[in-house]
Formats: sequence, C-alpha cells, structure tokens
Amino acid sequence: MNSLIFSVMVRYLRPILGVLALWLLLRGHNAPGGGFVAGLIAASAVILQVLSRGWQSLPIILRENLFELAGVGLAISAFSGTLSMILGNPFMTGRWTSFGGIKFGTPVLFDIGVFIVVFAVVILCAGFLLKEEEEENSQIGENK
Amino acid sequence: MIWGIVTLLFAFFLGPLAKKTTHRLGLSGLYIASAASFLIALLELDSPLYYHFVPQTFALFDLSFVADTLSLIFCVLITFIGAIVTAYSAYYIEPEEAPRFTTLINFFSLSMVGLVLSNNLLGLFIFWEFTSICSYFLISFDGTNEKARKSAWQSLLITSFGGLCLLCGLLILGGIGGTYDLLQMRIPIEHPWLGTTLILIFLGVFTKSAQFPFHFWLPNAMTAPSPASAFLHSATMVKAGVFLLLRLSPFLAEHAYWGKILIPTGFITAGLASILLLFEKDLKRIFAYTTIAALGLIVYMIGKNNASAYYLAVVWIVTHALYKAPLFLLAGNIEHYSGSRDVTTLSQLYPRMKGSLLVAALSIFSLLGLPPVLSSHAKGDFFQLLGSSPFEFALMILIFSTTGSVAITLLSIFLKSNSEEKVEGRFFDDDDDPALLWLPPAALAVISFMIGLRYGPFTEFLRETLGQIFPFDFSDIGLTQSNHTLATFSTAAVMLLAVFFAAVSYRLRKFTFNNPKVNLPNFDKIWNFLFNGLLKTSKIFFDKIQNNRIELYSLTFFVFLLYLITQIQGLEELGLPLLSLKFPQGVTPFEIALIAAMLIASTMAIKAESNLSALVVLGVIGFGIAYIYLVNSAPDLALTQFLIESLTLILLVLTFKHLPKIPYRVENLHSRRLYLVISIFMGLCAGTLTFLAGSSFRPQTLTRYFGEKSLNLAHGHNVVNVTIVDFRGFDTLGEITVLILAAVGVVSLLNRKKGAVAK
Repeated sequence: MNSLIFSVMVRYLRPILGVLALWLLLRGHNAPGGGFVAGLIAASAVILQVLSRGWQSLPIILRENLFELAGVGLAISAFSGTLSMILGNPFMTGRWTSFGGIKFGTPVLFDIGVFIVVFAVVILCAGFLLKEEEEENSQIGENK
Repeated sequence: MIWGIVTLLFAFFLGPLAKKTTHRLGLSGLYIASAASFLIALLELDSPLYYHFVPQTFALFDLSFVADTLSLIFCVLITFIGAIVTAYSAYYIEPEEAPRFTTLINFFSLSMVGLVLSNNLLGLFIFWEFTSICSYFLISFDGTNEKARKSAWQSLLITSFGGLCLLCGLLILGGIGGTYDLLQMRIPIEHPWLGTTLILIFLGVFTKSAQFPFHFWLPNAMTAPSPASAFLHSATMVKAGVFLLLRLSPFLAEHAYWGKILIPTGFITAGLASILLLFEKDLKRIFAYTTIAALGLIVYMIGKNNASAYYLAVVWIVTHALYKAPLFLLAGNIEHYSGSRDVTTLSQLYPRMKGSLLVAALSIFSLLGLPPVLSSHAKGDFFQLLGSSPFEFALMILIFSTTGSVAITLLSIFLKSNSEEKVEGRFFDDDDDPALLWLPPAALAVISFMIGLRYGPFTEFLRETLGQIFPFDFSDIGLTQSNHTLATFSTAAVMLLAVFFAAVSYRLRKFTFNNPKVNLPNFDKIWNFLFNGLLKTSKIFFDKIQNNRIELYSLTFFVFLLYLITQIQGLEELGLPLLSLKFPQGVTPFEIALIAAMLIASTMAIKAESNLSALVVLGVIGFGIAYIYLVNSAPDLALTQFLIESLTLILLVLTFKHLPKIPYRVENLHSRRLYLVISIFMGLCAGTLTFLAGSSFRPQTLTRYFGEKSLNLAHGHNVVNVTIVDFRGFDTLGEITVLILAAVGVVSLLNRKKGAVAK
C-alpha cells in the first residue's frame, strides 16, 4: 500500500501500539488486559507495518523464525508451570515473590508466554497471506 | 540416583550445542558421570526407593518412579553404553549431522532411563513410545536412502502396533489391579480378563524385542548409523520388552499363559534366528540375528519363571549388552574404512586396521565364550543350570555355536588374504583406523573381561539383591560345584560346531551369491503383502468417505451433532425454562436497538449479494456483541472481541479473491431443501442451548468462588485474567498449544496451495 498518509500514520502508531501492548500485558493481572489481548495488539502493529512498508522491512526473526518464537512462548508458559513443581507444589501452582515492592509471580511469566505465542501465531497466519499478496503484486509489476 | 538423571538432562540440553569432536567427547564424560552415579546408587541400595516427582497431578496418573536392582542395572547399562556410543559418534558422525544425532541419542537415553525407572504403568508406556519414535528417526537417519526410510516405516508400524496392544493390555491390567502404580497393584491371578491382558502385553513385548513372528524388523533396522544400532537395536531399546516382562513377572507369572506363550516364542525365535544368521552376508544383519537369538533366549528364560531362569536372564542381559555393542561399533569401523559390510567380499583388513583387530579379538573371546570373559562364565552357568533337559541343551548348543561361527567369520575377514578381489568402496588413506573409532568399543570389551575376572562378586551381588524383585530365593543359585564333564563337553561341542557352522555359512553365502534367484525364507515379502493390502483397503474406504466436498463434510458433522443433542438425558426438563420466558429486567432502549440492528444484520448477511457486503454486516454483529460485553461489565472480553473483529476483517480482505463468489447457490432443489431444514434445526438448537446455558444452570458458586479467591490465593484483582493464567492455567496451556498446531495447519495448507499455483 503506497499511501503517504498511511505510512506516516503507521510510523507514529507503531510505538504507541507497542507500549499499549506491553502496558496491557503487565496490568492484566489487576485490570482489563492480559497476554492474549496484548499479543493481538502487538501483532496488529506488525501487520500495519507490513501493510505500509512491506514484508522485507521486518527484522529477520519475524520473517523466518516465527515458529521458533511461538515455541519459545510455549516453553516459557510450560516452564512457569514446572517451576512450582521443583519447589514441591503441584504442577502450575502460582508462586509469588517481590523485588523491591513489585510483586512478581509465575502467572506473569505464564502470561508472557501466552503473549508471545499469540503474537507469533497471528503474524504467522496473517503474514503468510500478506506475503502471498505482496508476491503477486510484485509479479504483476514485473509483467507490466 | 537423582544426580544420574540430572546429569543426563544436562547432557540433553547441551547436546545440540556440541558440534566439535572435543565437545562431543565432553558429552560422553557426562554420560560416564551419570553411569557412575547410577552405579553407586545400585551398590548402596538396600531396598527399593520410591520417588513421586509429580504429586497428585491427576487422580490416576501419578508419575512415580522406583529405583531397585533391576531398574538400576538397566540404568547403568544405558548410561555406560551411551557414553561409549557418544564417544564413538564424536568421530563417526559428521559435524553437520551431529546436533540431530546427539539430540536423538540423548532423548533416547532419557526416555529409556525413564522407562526402566517408571513405577507407574502409564508413565512406562509413554517412555516406551518415546523410545520407538527415537528408533524411527535413527533408522531413517540417512533420509536420502529409500531403503532406510522403508525400514524405518516398517519398524515404526510394527512397534506402534505393539505399543497400541500394550496400551490396551496395561489399561485392562490397571483396571484389574485398581491402580497403575506398581507398588500398590494387586492382581488376582484367576481374574477372567487376565488371559487377554497377557496376550496384549506380550504382543507389545514381542514387537519391541523382535520376537517371532515380528523379528524381521530388527535386521532391516540396520540402516541406522552403527552407533545407534549398537545402542538402540542391540544393547538397550530392544531389551525394553524383556525388561517389561521382568517388571511384570511378580504380578503375572503365575498365570497359565505366561509360560505357555513365552517358552515356545522364545524357543522358536532363538532357534530361527540362529539358523537365519548363517544365510546373511551383511555384517550388521548377522549381528542383528545374533541379537534376536539372545533376546529369544532371555524370553525363554523368563517364561520358565523360576529362580535360576531369572538369574540367568539378568546375567545374560548384562553380558549381551556388553559384548554386542562393541561388535556393532566394530561393524561401523569396518564400513567406515572399507565402505562395505559384506562379509563375502571383505578381506585382509588386518595390516591396516590394527586397532579394530584388537576390538575384534576381544569380541571373539566373548562370541566364542572363551575364558576369562563374562560370556564364558554366563555360558557355563547356562549349561550348569539348564543342561539337564535335552531340548534346552540342544537349543543352547545351537545358539552358542552359531554365535561362535560369527567370531570365526569375523576373524576371517581380518586375516583372510585375498589379493584377487579388491575391496570395493572408499579407502581413507589419512585416517586408516583412528583411535576414536576403536578405543570406545575396546573399552567396552575390556569391561567385559574385567567383570569376567570378578565374576564371583558380580553373581554374589545378584544373588543378594534379585530377591527384592522376584519372589524367589536366589541365595544358592549357581553356587553348586560345577559339573566338569558337562562343562568340558559343552565347550568342546560349541567350539567344534562353531567351526562347522562357519564353514556351512561360508558355503551358504557363496551359494546364495552365485544363485541369486534362490528364495530364502523371507518375512519381508509377507510384510509387504500385508502392508500393501492395508493401503489398498484404506484407499477404498478413503475414496468412499473423503470425497472432497465441503457440503457433505459439514452435513455429516451437523447431522451427527443433532443426533447427539437428541440423546441428551432429561432434555424435556431443560426445555421448561423456555415456557416461563419473561422479559429480562433492566434492559435499556439502546440495547434493544442494538439487538435489533444485529438481527437485521444477520438477515442481511444471509441475503448478501457480494462478499464485501456480507463482511460488513458480519462486522456489525461482531462489534454489537463486543458492545454488549462492555456494558455487561466484561471489559476483557470486549477488548478481545474488538481486536478479533478487526483482525478477522484484515484476514478476510486478504483472502478475498480466493473466496467463492456470492451468491453461491446449490443447484439441486432437493438438497437445497434438505440443507435448509438442517440449517434451521441447527440454528434452533444452538440458540436454545445458549439460552438454557444462561438461564437454567447458572453456576453461581463458581462466580463467587473465583471472585473471592482471586485476590487471596492468586494476588490478582482481574478475575478473568486470574482465571485464565492461574485457576485454569492448564487449560490455557492446552489452548496455546492448539493455537500453534493451528498455525502449523494454516501454513502447510497455504504452502500447498502456493505449490499448486506454481505448477
């Protein structure tokens, strides 16, 4: 999409959406938000960038290693569940600790894993269609 | 013992990183450390130790482990041979393929250790299947070789068939015993289902341990890299079946089928494999047949179900693992050096392969059972404890002498001078016979010597500890004064017959080489017939059921769903709230307008003339739902719904040109009516069920429970999020796993379409 308005808008929207996603992710435990929604928003930011500047503008990890990324997310979630097992509780018992007044627990880690999985999977599915679209467009351009 | 497992886990995670030879040798060091800790645990063990690593995860599936003499002997064998194999493969496997190979080997060792340590039958089964999968990947390690892929398929199908049987058997066994925990299980021996259970379990065991009539997959599995063959297909994995028999024998051995099935199977397998090996030309296949013979002998022993038989089975498991692994590694050496494994063409290896000759010489002692190696003592015990029965005597003479003939063949390919026929294949001038390829197997063979020299303490240890596992008195097994006449006679007989069989098999190999049309007893043909028959049958069914018409698929699905709904118990009572329908309180006019708009939008969606308009009106419905979530104090849901709606819109726009054009009409009037009726019923059912779910059974207790406990137990104010990540965290874990699987599906579907376009 070669619209100037759109690409300028995306340039400003991207960091805002990124911060919004992080904010939603971290506040999710106490207020509306959470890993799933945050993942969707972060993925939308990436999709917007792809729409404005093309697939190639993404860092390589988002182009080639999405499955690995999703796997890492799943591993983080699963690991957060096994952490309590090492400490002698049943699988997936929430464990909490605090660093200087900020409470931090395994459910937060779990949510971060969910975030990464949703983020990666949405980009994977949407990105595939986008890439197809882009390739066809470029072929049409070459043929002309 | 815990440290042994921790070290193995460490090796597992480091494995993929180890690419250099030295790093991979380090991995082998980890294995040795693990073996040492298992050995210490074994020697210090007083009584079986029980571990519950996962307390109360599920009511039935409590993953628990047991460390007793039997499992620790296996653990020591697995980790020690694992160390040798890892050290060997440090040089043998090319650096590019090393991460794949080491990961598989590490995963296998972990699963195998898990299998032998399992105290829970279901846990044991999971590890059992893991080892089958590892075996599949290792057999097809050279994916470019069609034969390797075929053999891998064969072994996977056979072992997973056995695995399914085993699962059924174990489930019934758990049902009979009331629990899957071996410690608490009590099996009433006269239970009517026990015979079926035994047969099912035996099928699993026979496929895994390559017993007749499933033995043929093991020789075919020799397409795996030699270290993998040494590790999986001779020393450890194929012994899993035997291990299971030993593990279950205290519960099941009293049943009449135990001996009636195991004794003939073991006898036939051992005898058949001993004869078949005489026909083989491939060095590794010959070793595979001797492995099958050894396994058959063990199964036979277990079938006998008495103290001396169990004692001999355990001794033979250790002996066989220690002498067979170096032989496979030696075969790998020879192949690496000459590019061939064919004993009819190989010759004159000695002047160049000096190190390997040492391994060969040490192994020949074991194969022939010459003192002072472990196998000579084991063989002595066999003749002493079983020599009284003529059948058993004949079987053992046959097994040991054919195994001995392999030793003579082996010696001949090293020393035979044959200047006319050059060995075909590659020659490595710079590394004729590197130390890394012969030192590890030599170390293993030396261990065999050392245990042979200290045979007295070794058997004493077994006599003291085997009583923990098997309900027999082992205190005086093998202690009686040996019958010198019998021992001398049997040794002499084995020696003479070994020479005789070596000559016979030399002739046979020559004969089959010269007359390639002669049909040998070939089980592969039966297998191929069955396999192709299965494929053909399934194709007939497949063509009937899978007709690639999405209407028929969804029709089947919906009709079946409707049928299920009509089968719900007490459906009439559920319908009662519908009759007492009241207008809900506190609904604002705006909401009514919204609902009306959504209803209109749904009607328009049905009638839409183009994809775009259908998309827009569907969007109206979605956003309407999101708004209703929002006003009914579900901001999380609303947020998600809004985002999903937007993303769906983007995705649909992208797939726009692939969608069929609306209006899409079914031409046949008859089926149109049918579809209409089914659609209306489906809609009615969905609507009614949703309504009922909201009105009649409202789980107030759950809402209150989550509301109250959210802050106290899970430290979160947002009940929805706390439910997702904490109270129902396991569900979420499952959901994100499914999400990734769905992504795999999407990508593979789209890729396929792309390929079709390119064509």
